[in-house]
Amino acid sequence: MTTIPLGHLLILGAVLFTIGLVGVMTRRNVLILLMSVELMLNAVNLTLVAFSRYHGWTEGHVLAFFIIAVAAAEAAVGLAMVLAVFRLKGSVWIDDLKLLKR
Amino acid sequence: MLHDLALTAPLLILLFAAMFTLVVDPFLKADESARRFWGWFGAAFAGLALVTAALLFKFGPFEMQTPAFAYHLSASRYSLFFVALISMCTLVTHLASPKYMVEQGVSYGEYYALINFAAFGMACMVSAESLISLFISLEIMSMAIYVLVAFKRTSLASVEAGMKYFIMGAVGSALLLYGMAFIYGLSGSTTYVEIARALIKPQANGDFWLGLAMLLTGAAFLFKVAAAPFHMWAPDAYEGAPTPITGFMSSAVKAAGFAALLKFLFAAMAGPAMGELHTALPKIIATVAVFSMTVGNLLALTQKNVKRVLAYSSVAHAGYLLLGCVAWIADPTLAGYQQPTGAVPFYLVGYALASLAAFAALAAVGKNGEELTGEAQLIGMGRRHPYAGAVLALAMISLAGVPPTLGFFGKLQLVRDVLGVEDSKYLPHVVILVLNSVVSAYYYLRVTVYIYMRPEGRMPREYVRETSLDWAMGLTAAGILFIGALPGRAMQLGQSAVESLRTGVSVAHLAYEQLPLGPSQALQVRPPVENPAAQGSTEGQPGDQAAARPVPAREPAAKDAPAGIK
Repeated sequence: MTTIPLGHLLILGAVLFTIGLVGVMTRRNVLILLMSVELMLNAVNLTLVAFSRYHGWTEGHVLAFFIIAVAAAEAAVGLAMVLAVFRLKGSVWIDDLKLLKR
Repeated sequence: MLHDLALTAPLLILLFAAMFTLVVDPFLKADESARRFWGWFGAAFAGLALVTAALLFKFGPFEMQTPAFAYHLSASRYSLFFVALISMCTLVTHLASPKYMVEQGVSYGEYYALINFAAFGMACMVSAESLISLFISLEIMSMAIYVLVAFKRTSLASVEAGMKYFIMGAVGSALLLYGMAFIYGLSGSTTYVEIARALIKPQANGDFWLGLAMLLTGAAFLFKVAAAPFHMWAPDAYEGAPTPITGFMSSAVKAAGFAALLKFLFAAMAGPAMGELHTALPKIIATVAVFSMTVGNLLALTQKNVKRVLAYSSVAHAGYLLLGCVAWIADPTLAGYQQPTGAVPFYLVGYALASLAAFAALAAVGKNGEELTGEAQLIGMGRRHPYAGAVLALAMISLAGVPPTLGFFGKLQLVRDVLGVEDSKYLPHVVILVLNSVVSAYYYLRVTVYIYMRPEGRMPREYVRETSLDWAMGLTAAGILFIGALPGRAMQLGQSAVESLRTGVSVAHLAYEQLPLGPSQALQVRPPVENPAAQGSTEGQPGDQAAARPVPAREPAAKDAPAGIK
């Protein structure tokens, strides 16, 4: 069985991270923004696990597991806020959130 | 084990207070007196954590500078100093909250639990000794703060502020993690000690990858402390958040962010570990500092809402503090650190007290779901609410850095510290800092003018006294005046905190050398078989980026040593 070289995994991670970052900066729907952030976090997970396998130690895996748990908590908080915004404003578009602009 | 628990006692006290509030609150009658009780309860436990941290600071066993919990947390004087500062901010925030939350109609027990969770996260953050514990504690803090900002869930401003802060904060966390992933890739470890040791070995293209990692983590840290150019969230979040929480964010979150940043730079990215970067890093930080203070001050000039003014002023203060950090890392060879003085911790104390006082005073005025934070709305505050008006004016004077107050001594110490670096190498930066202080005096004193010197007052007269809020304002104002009158002792404390960070790092390195086995090796699950297939195939492709990636392999020497740390 051939092993996937480290570089390929890192490049995939970088591509996913960039897609996520671009998504956060260009999309205007809050739900899509949350998905983009999740994508960034999972790109980090992939990078960490790749490095972890490369080093042959488990610390990267440990951090990746913590990231998964934290990402779940983050999604919960984020969706709760989307709900709160939707109740008050009836919209999940970030452009509608302009009360605080000076 | 017991030793570890004793060292983290202040953290555990904060955590206990949070959990107790959360569990018991549903069983209490949902009336105002119960909510007021949680304010006092949280304040009492924050005070207990403060006292515990102070006792450990004074009498603590100093073998404790060696990291606890398998190299993930430590209790040095450095971390204890900041735990005490954070507990103090938590105490004042608890005291300032009940009246405001009742007036705004969002008084719930969870609010006080969340403040304690955030405080616990911050206390862990300043004690963190590894990337894993740093990340988790940062998230514990941030998650609680996101919710607290959006806590007035019937107010669109609050929810909107929370939403914006949350999205930007989540991106910040992702950047931090990506940087951490590269640091892990370069060093093969997540604890600061091991990272510092692993990075010393020169690696191919190491500077590039390390620079990338520092860029990502640095951006995330700058985001957390609200330094320009990562400050965009600050004005919105500060304005929309409940006023006591705004005070909490500008004091405790900033202190925790700076403490964690400095520890990270000092312990993990120290000296030789940074390679060529160690000469560039102070210059970069100094440039960011100047940018941040200038942007913050200029934008603050145009604001009409005091909360927004203070938000931009907090961006400016992040700049001053970053310039203070330069004095620490200007010569970052682990052996040859210049003697850092306690300017940054001392400045943080002054800044935290002043902004807590200002936001407590702002929380005191305003009724029935309305906040009176517009500058024009403050007209007549000095006569209608003499106590709150005086505290707000004092806080502004201290933030501006006018002599008898604490803010002046903080700035003085900071400037002396920075000028001491390599024959006043950073003199131009200091000149910009002083000019910035002059600019900032304009908008700080403008608030004072509105409080006292405008004849036509529209501020509502009726003012319901609240004991806890009076205490919050009194404690912070007394702190500003008392420490301002006798700054020597507080400076000494800051100094010994900073020195302990320095010795702590070397003690940790010594202790590490005496271990039969590195801590991460104890966590190892499978024997680390070198993977010739993976490495061979990577190296076999010329031009593949992976071949250039400077990832050190571990020496197999220590691998058959007995497992276990203690």
